[in-house]
Amino acid sequence: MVQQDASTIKSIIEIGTAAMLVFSTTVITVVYVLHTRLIKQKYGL
Amino acid sequence: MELSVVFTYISFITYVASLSLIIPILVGIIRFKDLQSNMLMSIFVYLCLYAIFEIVAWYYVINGWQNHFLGNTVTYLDILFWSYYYHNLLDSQWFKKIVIAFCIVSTVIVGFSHFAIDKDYNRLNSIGLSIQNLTIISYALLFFFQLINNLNVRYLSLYPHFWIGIAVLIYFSIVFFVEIFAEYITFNRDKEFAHAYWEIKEYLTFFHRIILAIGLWFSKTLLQSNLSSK
Repeated sequence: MVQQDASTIKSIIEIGTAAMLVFSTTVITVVYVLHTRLIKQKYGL
Repeated sequence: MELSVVFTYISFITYVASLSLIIPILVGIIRFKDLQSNMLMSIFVYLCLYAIFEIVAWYYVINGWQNHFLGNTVTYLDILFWSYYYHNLLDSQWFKKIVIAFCIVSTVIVGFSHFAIDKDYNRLNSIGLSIQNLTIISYALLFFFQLINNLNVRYLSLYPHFWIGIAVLIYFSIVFFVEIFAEYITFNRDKEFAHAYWEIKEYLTFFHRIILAIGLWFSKTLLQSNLSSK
């Protein structure tokens, strides 16, 4: 296995994890907000 | 799972993460009657299977044996279970076909990475874990798309499968970058480095199981008037 620099790996994990956190929370928020609005239009709730 | 039993902060987090599996199982037992007629029963069975894996993993840890092969085996369990779950949950025939295709392709790639690339089943396989995560993330995204597209559910916050989708998306996406380097982290001699990043996985495991428990708790509302007629 190719020896990789520990600091590079740390940066990849930190940036990647933060990016995925933003991605997942954004998707969930968008789905929830969009669904709530569309369901209000559909059923007039 | 593979960390030493010595009582350190990371081992405490590992114990808590492992024990947190009890919460969704207890909720499943309490709501057992409501689980019978829908896909939530499969979640309960999956959690019980996971509990058996956890017990065996801890038995290996207590005896000082390497248990990474269990982690590799769980990869197959995760891919097959979540494929089954989302295949049944998704309505579109196209989405069902995508799930079947993803399941076959990812299982083949994971098997190939275990037996042809790595050749050591006792080493935690980063390729397998990454493919598993990407596959399951894509299922959750397909399901969320279906939720918005079909609008069959009136109150999303009371819909158990939405909560399970949240648990799946948050856990498998955030843990993705940690598991890409799982092999590196678990075999790193710098324990501080290893613990710092493995901690993220243990915290997420805890929250994943709490959110699954919330999903199972709302199983009662699935049988009531939350679903609109198509």
